[in-house]
Amino acid sequence: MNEKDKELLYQTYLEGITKETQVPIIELEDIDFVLPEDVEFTFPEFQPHTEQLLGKMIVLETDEYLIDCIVVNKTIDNEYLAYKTSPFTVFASEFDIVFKTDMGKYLLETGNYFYLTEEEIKEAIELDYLQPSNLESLKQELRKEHLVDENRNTDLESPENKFLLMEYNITLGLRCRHSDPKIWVPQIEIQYRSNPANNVKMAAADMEIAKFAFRLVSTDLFKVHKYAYFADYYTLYKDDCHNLILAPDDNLIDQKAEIRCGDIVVFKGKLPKQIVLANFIPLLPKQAQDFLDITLKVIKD
Amino acid sequence: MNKDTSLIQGYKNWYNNSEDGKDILSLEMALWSVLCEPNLLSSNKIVFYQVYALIQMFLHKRPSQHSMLKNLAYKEGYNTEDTHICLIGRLIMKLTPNLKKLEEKKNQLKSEEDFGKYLFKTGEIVTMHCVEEFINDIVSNKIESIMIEQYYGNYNISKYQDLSYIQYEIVTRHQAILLAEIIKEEWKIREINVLCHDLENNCESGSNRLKNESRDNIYKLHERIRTKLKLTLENNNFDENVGRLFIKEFLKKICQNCPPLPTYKEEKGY
Repeated sequence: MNEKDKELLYQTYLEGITKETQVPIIELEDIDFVLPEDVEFTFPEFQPHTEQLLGKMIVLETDEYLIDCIVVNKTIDNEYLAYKTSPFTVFASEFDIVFKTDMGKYLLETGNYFYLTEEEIKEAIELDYLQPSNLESLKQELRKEHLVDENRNTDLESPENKFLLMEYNITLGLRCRHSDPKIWVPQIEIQYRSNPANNVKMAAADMEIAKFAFRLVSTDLFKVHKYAYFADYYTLYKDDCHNLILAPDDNLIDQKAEIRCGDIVVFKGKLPKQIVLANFIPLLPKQAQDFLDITLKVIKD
Repeated sequence: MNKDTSLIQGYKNWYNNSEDGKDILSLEMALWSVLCEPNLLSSNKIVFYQVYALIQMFLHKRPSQHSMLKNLAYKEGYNTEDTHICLIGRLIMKLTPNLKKLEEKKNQLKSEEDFGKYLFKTGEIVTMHCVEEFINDIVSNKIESIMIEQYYGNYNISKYQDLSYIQYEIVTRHQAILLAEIIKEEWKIREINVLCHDLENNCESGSNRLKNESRDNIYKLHERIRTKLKLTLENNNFDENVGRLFIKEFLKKICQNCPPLPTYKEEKGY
């Protein structure tokens, strides 16, 4: 598929996620009747969708967007884990699982998940349903590791990456309302992971500075600076599992804020005590800050 | 479908002359009646016109998607009539399993108007999904999505599907029509005659074809023609669902136009 077709497809996708269109209803006299004379419609014996919430494929309506997802699990807190899905399988990437039901083919975005209440699921429009045995297969597929494609297109302006970015953008509110928000940073997931060397230079000079500093400062102090970066409203640090954590200043916890990486909003909502920006990433906090250009802005009501 | 008047003329008469049933609520209630009883779509012309009109309204609410589907289908040689058949069929198929939920909503909402609005919104969103799926299917087919599917984590892709679901898949339907064209153009009439015998033989009235062939020969001919059909599918990169839909939907028409031959032997003129 050429770039022009991909862009057209992306524009088509964009129209589909918009909740309201301002297009007036077409008048009856303007409708063309295009069907063959001998058209016959037959339908299978319909199996009503079960009352069971797991396996339901639904469309959620948020203030701005229509969000397709599949309900996969129930948590101990009586929340339901749902994954973002889309019928646009032509945009499937290594982060996705493509699966089929009797009535459609979908991609599931393995990193784009959030939690829903029973009420939200019941209020949503139902699109399809995945039988329990197929849901189990899907869950097994979810447990597998999805390797990063080293040859992937890392241009965030390409239609396939714009699709991915928008898919995460429309679920931002759902992902960020959880006490442990699921953050997705495109610069890390799309660019850095596919080619770390090209994206962040672990310059030899930097390493020398670090070694020099090590000789000058006490071990404890060096450790702090190596594993933490102090910004105006937050601290970036690495935990023992090499996860990159953003900890807002104490006075900002529970305040509404927006965190951006460059121009991209990666968090919007009430600030928890800490946010995992990326799992297992071999970047020092300062390097991560420089690479991601992180900013935190408090939103005043 | 009652064929007393042509469909297009019937539709024109309905919107030009009919006093009732053209307001939005009537159209919505027509859709509701079809969801409760899908056969109404084929047995009641007025209901059919109303549902058709409503689906066109859904389509026009998302002009870019509608136009993308039209352009793509046109460029790839898809028949517009078949695109509409697939859309209507697919929409009803996707909405009907929700009947119970829609009924609950109907009871919960105070007025018929409110339920109509809810049904309109639901119909519009599901129609949009059908359009997106069709666009995706046509594009995937164009770029040989098999390459993608081999690469990414997939499961359940080659699952067996009931024919009634397949009939409204836009690419499968298009390919089944192409298969019919290929068979009409490339196969000999005596071969089509065997294929038709295979089809008709399962009917209660039996077949008028191959009357002069022995039972053993007919068995062998059936075997041979099935192999040929399979090869034709393979040579054109069509999957077996295309073959199944072709047999269900399009072979009958070919057989109606194929004179019954008493034997497979080559005769003058065939």
